[in-house]
Amino acid sequence: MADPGSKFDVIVVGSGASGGWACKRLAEAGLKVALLEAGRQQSSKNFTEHKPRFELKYHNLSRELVRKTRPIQSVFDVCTEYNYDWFANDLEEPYSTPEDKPFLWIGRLRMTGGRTNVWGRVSLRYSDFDFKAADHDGYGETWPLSYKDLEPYYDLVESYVGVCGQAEGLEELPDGKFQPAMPLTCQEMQLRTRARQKLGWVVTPARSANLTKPLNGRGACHYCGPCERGCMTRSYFNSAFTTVADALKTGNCTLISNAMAYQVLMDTETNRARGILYIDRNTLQAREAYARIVILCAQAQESVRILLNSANRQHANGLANSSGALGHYMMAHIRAGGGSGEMPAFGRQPTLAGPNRPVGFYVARFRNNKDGPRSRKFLRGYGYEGDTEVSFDFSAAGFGEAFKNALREPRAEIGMRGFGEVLPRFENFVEIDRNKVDHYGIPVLKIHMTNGPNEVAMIKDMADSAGELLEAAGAKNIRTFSNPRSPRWATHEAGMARMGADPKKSVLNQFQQAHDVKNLFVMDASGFVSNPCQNPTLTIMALCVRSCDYLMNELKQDSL
Amino acid sequence: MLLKMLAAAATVAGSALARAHPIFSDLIDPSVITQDWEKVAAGEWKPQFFNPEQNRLLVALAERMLPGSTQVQVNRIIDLVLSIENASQQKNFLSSLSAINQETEEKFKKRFYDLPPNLQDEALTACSSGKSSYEFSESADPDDVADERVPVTLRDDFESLKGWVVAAYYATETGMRELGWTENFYFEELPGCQHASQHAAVNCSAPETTADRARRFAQEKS
Repeated sequence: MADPGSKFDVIVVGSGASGGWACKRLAEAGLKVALLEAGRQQSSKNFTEHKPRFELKYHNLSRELVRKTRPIQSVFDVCTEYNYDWFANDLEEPYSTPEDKPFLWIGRLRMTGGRTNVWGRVSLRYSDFDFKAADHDGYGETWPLSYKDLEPYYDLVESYVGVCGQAEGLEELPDGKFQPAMPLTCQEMQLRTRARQKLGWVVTPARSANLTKPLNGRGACHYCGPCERGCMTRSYFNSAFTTVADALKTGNCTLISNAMAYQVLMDTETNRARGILYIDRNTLQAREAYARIVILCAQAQESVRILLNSANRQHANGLANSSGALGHYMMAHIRAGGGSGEMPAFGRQPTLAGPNRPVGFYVARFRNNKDGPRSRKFLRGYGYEGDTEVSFDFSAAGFGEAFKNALREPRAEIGMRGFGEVLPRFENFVEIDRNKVDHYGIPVLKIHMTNGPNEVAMIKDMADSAGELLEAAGAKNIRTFSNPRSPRWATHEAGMARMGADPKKSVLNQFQQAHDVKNLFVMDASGFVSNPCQNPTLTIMALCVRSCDYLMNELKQDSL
Repeated sequence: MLLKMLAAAATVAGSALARAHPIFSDLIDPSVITQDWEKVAAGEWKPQFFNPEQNRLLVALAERMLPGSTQVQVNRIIDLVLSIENASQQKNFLSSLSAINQETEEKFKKRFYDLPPNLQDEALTACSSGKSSYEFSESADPDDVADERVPVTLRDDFESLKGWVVAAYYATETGMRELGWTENFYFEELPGCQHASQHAAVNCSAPETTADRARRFAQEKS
C-alpha cells in the first residue's frame, strides 16, 4: 500500500462506474490519482460464474445464509451464496428510515468495481426530451446541459464499454455506438412485431454492456449466464477489470482499498478541499489522504453522506450546501408494476445445456412522448425490461416419475417489469441520523423516501400497459401486478446534490463541480436533476468523462 | 468361509491377483460403488437438524416424491440448509413432515416409511389433491412474494415439502444432468428467432414505422 499521507493531484472516492472512469481519464492524462475504495480488491480468484451450484456448501439454496449478515442486500436477487461477501454487511453498515417510510438500500458493494460487479448492464442514452423535460411539462428543473453536450461522451464511453444493441431511430431513446445486438427469441420477436403493429410501441433487444465482439483484449460473451458472479473473459463491463485496471496500468493511480471515506478535509482559510479523512476497515484507524482536487464517486447516497458528515463552521448544514438542496430531491426508479404471460414454445425444449443469454428485451417509453398524447394520470414515463425463457415447469402438479415428466413440458413465459421515472421532490431526502454510527464510527444516513401520487399512478399504469402489451403479443394466462407501496426501488438512486446553473437552487454546476467549493466534484448520480426512466449508468459515465475533461482544462488554466 | 476365500484367491494367481481385490468388482459396477459408499458415509453422517425419525421419514417421502432422491441424498442437503434456517422455516418444515406422517398413520395405521410403495403413493396422492390455502395473488410482485408461507392444509404441507425436495434434487449434479446440464460453459453461438415472418399477426397491416407513429400520434393529438 502506498503511503496515503503523500500528496496526490486528485483523490477519487469510489471505484464503480464513475470512479473508474475518473481514474482512467485523469491518470492517463498524467495526473497522480489516489483511488479510495471502501471494499476489498477484486480479483479473478473471486469469480465463480462457471462453478455449478452443487459445488457450494449449501447448493445456493439458503437465503438465510445470506440474510444473516445481509438482511437487506439479500433482497437483491444477484446477492447469493456465490458472492454475498462482495456486498456490504448490513449489520456493520446500517442506515435508518422513518418507520412509515421503509426503503431498501440494496446493491451496496464493497469490492473494487463497486456496483458494476453485479449491475444489470442495461445501457441507454438520455435525450433532450429528458434533459429538458421541465420545459415540456413544467415540472421541476431543466438540466444545465443538453444532449449535444453529452453526445460525444456517450460515443466515447460506449466505444470503450462495449454496448450491444439495435438502432431504432427513436428520438426519445437515441441510438448509440452499438456492438451487434443479442438476438431476440421467437416469443420476443412476436412481442416486438405485434407491439409495433398493434400499439406502435418499440420492443428492442436490451442495450447492454455485454460484448458480442472482442474489444481491447476482452473477449466476446460466451453465454455462460451469471454475469453477477464475475467474468473470466471480461465480456461484461465491470470497472474493476476495465477502467480501474487501465488507470492502475499507467502507474499514476494508487488504489487504496478498505478505505471508508468519512469526511472531506477542508482548509477553512481558503475554503478549499484538501483531502479525505477515512477509516481503514481492517484497523479501524482514522487516516488522511491529501490532494489538490477531491472527486466523490461513492454512489449517490454515500457521496451525499460524506458531504453531510463534512459539515463545519463555514458549512454548517453540510459541505457545499449553501443552497439547502443537498440531500434533497432524492430519486430512484419505480419498478413495482409489470406482468407476465405464456407464449407458445415454438418447438424449443427446456434444457440446462445452455447457451444462456445475459440480456432480455427493452420496451422503449411510450407514455407522454414528445409528439404523442399526454397521460392525464401522470407526468413522464417508463420503459419495460423483460425476457422470455423456455423453461422447465417446476410448478407442475403431482409427484414421482409423473412429475419428472411433466416438469419437462416447455413453459415459455414472457415477464416484464416497468422502470419508471420518479419526480424530484424536496420531501424525498436523506439526512444524518445523529443517533447512529456504523461499525467504523461514521454517522449513518436516515433516508426519507416515498412514492408521490405521480409514481403511484405510473405503477398502476405499468401493470395495465403490460397487460395490453402481452395481449397484443398473443400471450395467454396474462397476470399483471402493481404494488405502489413496495419499499423497493430499482438500484438507480440519483439526485440529492443536483446540478444547476443557479447556485441558490443547486449544489453542483453542469460539470459536477460544487458551487461552493471549487476543487470539489461529485461525479456519480447525485448530480442528476431528474431521473429519466432509462437506466442511469451510461449517463453517469458520460457525465463523469465530460466533467473530467473540464477539470483538466481548468487545471491547465490554473483555475482550480 | 475362510477356506472358500483362500480357494478363490488361489485361482487368480500372478498378475491377476490385483483384480481379485474386492474393490475391482466395485469399480466395474457403479451401483455397488454407490451402495458401499452410502453405507460408509451413512455411518459417518449425522443429521444436524433432524432427529433420526424425521430423517428416515424425509428419506422415504423424498424418494416417492422424486425418485432418485435417496441416491443423491436430498435429505442431507435439506438437513444442512435447515440447520441454519430461521426458526419459523424450521418449524414449518417439521410441522409439514409430521402432518403428512400423521395423516398416513391414521389412514394406514403405519408410518409412511413402513408402507409399501403403492400405499405410499396413495397417501401422497391424497395429500396432493386437497385444497391449497396458497391463493395466488393477481397483484403480487414476483419479487415481493414472501417465501415463508405457513402451511395450513395437507395440500400446503405436501407442496411445501415437495418444493424443498425438488429444489434440493435439481441442485445436485445428478439432478442438473437430468435437465441437460453438461460441464460446458462456453457457447460460440446464441440462436435467436429465425422466422422470416417475425411472427407478425395475420390480418394486420405492415409494421408501423417511426414516421407512421409520429403521424398517428399527431392525429390522436388533434
